[in-house]
Amino acid sequence: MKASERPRRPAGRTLLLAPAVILVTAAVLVPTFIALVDSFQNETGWTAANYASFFLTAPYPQVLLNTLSIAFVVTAVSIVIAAPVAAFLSRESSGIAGTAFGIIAASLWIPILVKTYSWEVLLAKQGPINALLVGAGLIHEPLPLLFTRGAVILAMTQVMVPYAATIMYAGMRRVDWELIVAARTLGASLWMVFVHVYWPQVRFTVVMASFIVFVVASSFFVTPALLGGPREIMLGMQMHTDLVNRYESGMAATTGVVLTVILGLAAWLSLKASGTSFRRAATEFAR
Amino acid sequence: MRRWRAGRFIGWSYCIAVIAFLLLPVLIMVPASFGAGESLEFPPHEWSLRWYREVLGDRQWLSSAAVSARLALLAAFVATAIGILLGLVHLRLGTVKPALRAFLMLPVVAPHIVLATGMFSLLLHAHLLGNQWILGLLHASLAVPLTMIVVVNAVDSIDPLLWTVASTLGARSWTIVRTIILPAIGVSAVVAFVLAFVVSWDEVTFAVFVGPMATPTLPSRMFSYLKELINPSLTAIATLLVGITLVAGGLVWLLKRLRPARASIAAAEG
Repeated sequence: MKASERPRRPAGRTLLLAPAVILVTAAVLVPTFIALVDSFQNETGWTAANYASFFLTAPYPQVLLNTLSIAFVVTAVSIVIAAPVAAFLSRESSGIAGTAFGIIAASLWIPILVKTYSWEVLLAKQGPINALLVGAGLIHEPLPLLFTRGAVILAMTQVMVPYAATIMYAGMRRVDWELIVAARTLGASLWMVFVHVYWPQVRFTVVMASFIVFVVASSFFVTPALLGGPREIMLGMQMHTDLVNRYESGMAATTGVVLTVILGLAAWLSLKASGTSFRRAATEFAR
Repeated sequence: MRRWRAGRFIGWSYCIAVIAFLLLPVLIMVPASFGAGESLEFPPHEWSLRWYREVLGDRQWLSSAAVSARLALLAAFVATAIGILLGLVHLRLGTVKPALRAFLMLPVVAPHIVLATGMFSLLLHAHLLGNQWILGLLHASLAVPLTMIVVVNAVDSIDPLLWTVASTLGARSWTIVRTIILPAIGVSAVVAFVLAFVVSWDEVTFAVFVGPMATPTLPSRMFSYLKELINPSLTAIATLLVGITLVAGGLVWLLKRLRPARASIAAAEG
């Protein structure tokens, strides 16, 4: 249908779009703005003291470091685990491949708390993994598996792999395999095919998946709280403690602003790394 | 050819291993919830429904489940209605622009802990902290990206000429929406509804930060119990939640198979 045939009724359009725009503005832009305002305030009025405290006093720098390093490792491991699955299943055309993908996508629906709890049960001192290891004679004493960084990374990776796999599967389904066959026929080595023909086609979706996994992982709240020890405190837990137990809304807001700025930077870097414009990224993203 | 076959074998083995990593930890926990003992056993020495009776007879868990269900219904209604409105815009008034779509996807990429912190301060000053309807609307906003994608994709498969034909024949806009558009996207709207319901039902960050305190949502109550202890009744609750997830997943799977082929004039005539 040509554009000229469409009835032009801007008023109706505004009315239909208004609920969506108002809701997202109220739920995303307003609280972000309030956090920004709060972060520059304390009892005395407007100040930048919260930022000085954030970067100079314990435990904030350490918590920031914990968060970024845990989120980075979880992102890297999730992408490395999920990419071959997405690549393989998107190439297979059989119905069973669709079912396998369906199972992976469905595991997104198991509540995060249930997944976290299942690791709490499995990794406990009297849990089945320790019982198995002791029974097999590999160890004499049950290992302290819970409340370690390994436990947090393991559980967060289990939560994030389906996200990474579903995003990359959608992108990799559009890979043109004829091009690869053509390149092979013309004598390109496997490595050359990967670098010059395959990677350019999947680069965008891999970078996009990494970015989304990093965002979700860096704002994880329940898993590190339940499976981690004092050295796995992440920003979300610190913000909750500051808000609810210490009435330090200024510090919680400051933490939030710092995280948002870091994620904004990550978004910019991802856009650069994906080699696309914002426009295309936005279109692809909302597909 | 042989090399390709070996490659497929490796590919499938790898996929099965990953699926096992995703599902086994949760499945291993399930039998333990049917034990009769005071503590978790793998597998239990004696089987019983004791912990299920305990959980399902506990008023606190039940009222939390009721709060969660109410919120999830509200969130699903609001998010699906918004999705349908966006679908109508997409159908009649030109595609939803990439910039606007990206804006409406913000609830997916904005860090929830930051939004929850800002909300906490706002609701504290407005004396609305712990209000369940507000939490329901926040959950709706988190689900809007999903309902938008599902409904807009469904609208894409409607032949735009259907509208032209119907209006040439004298049908009013509302009649066209009611008798042609809604039936054509009905299945997708239900899928969107179920997805939005699950988003709210599972949501824990906003629920813990700004949700009701006296009767918290199910995930929020579970979180505060989990900080204390591991016990068989929590395992029973976790199993029930997985069961509900499976039912919802099965529902969506069935509905997707029901989804009618491209709605077009030819189909309407046939």
